[in-house]
Amino acid sequence: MNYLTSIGLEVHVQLRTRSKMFCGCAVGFGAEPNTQTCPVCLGYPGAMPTMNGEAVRLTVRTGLTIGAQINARSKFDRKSYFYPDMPKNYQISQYDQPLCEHGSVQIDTPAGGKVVRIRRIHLEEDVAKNMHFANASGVDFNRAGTPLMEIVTQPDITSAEEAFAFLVALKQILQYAEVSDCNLEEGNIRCDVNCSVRPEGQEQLGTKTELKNLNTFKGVLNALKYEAPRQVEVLRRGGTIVQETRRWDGDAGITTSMRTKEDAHDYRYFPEPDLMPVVLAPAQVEAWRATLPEMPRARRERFVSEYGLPDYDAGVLVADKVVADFFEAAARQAPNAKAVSNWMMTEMLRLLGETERDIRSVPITPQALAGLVRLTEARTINSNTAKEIFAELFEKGGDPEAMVKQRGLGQVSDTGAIAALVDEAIAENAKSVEDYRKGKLAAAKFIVGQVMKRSKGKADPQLVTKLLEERLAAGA
Amino acid sequence: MEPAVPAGIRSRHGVCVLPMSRLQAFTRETGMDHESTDTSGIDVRYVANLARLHLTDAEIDTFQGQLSQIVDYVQTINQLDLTGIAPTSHAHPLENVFRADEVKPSLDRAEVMRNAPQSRDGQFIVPKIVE
Ligand SMILES: [Zn+2]
Repeated sequence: MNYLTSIGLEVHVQLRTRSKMFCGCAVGFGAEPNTQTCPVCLGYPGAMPTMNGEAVRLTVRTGLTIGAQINARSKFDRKSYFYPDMPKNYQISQYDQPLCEHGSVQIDTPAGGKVVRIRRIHLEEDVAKNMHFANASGVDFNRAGTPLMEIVTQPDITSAEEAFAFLVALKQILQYAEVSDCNLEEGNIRCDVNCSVRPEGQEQLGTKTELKNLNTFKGVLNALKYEAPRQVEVLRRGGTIVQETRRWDGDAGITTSMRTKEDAHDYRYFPEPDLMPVVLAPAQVEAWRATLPEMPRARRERFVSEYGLPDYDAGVLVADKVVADFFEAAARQAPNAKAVSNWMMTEMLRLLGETERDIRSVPITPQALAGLVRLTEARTINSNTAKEIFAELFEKGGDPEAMVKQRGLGQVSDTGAIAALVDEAIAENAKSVEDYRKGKLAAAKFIVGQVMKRSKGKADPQLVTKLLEERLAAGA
Repeated sequence: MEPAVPAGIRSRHGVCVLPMSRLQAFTRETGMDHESTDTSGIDVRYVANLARLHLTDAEIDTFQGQLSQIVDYVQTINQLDLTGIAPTSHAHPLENVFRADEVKPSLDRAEVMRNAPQSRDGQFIVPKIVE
């Protein structure tokens, strides 16, 4: 029997604000423990939260980018639970009136495009970080109170690979919308995963398990690659799935049970009396909508239509907003956008990968790349010279047009000078000339190579080939 | 999904936290210091467990009776016709109370740690957390 998998994700995204959700403490990664705290984020009795308006704006902006409904009225609630990461014994979150509902994200799957529905987006405060010592645990409140946006999908995802594709697409959207730094190493995006399986033909979803706090996309992929087959195996052997929370152990590559439904939390949500509701006027929402940037899918389609790029190339370029920005800045100044794209797709991404650098930190500029393309399009330099110049621009920066002029790297396109070199090469390579005439066409390539050598690599290889073929045909 | 505002009285700890003396005074003044049948739907034992409160059986009995009386009293509002009236969680008609996204100075860590029963390397030390 075949089994179908249903996966829903709850993605927690740290918003790009300067200060915390309900107090003025700085948001930042890597500060000394407990140096960014105050009575509000330490949960002191009587301390009053005040809402960061920017966090509300960024959450609504995210909702707008995924076509969500922005609720005219929204409120905050207390979610009660007891754990050393939360001294108030409740987290301020949103329960029944979140800021955004009913959006969708398009993903690419091997079978084609697919829509993953978004159930809701709500805003909440992050909790403290716990560290574990041999006989005790430590609590650092720097992260407590950081604005977190929780994006909840419908269980529309049907495989580990689709879950991965969704997270990649979502991250692109968040980066394009500039609502989060999306730095996974700093825990900016964390994920809870719900997974269930059911026999093909069954309407109703199977019993789900929850995998908590996965902080890499690869972790989500690998955890699901283990968890879905595990559930199928249990059912095949006649067992039943228990609703439970499971922990992903990346080193062992398995999930293990953490707690079952019997001791599940009862959060006892109730309205937060210290915070007033958020009421968004349509005019306000429309004003925010007007500031939305172009989203990755639209940009990809535009790169195909405006610059004539293959869809695959456009997809690679838009995957990272700063790479796409670089391409576009160069393409606007270059005579041939496709040539710019070729440099980006080959040399640029290869060198960035090899040196593990970000395009923002390398000295080459879009202007320089456009200049390089002008030089190759005008056939002022040949492709080998161009590659050498690109490598130098990547390392040290500079103006390629000035470099070519100063160093005399320009390609020799003077027909008379090249013809002389061709004649020399023919005279000195009688054997190859004979081979060519006997039908060994590859011999001509050898002679072209000899001419290039004589020109110290500066001759225009196309011109050399043309002149050589003319002379050999004429029986010179 | 549980309702947003479940029946019953809630505080930070899930149960009423009025001091006993105030509660007794309150029930006397309101004429509620008589036995009543429990219609509140509050399960004090369950809620106390959620709130990590360790109550004796006698305390559970007392609180069950007192909380039921309080909830019964609040339920007198149901005698009014409330059709079309949205649940209210604030008495003030205020909305959109926002703060600008500006960083303010945090507390000095030495000051923060004065309240820590135990600390190490600038962190609060708590009993070892076992998930
Ligand atoms: Zn604070």
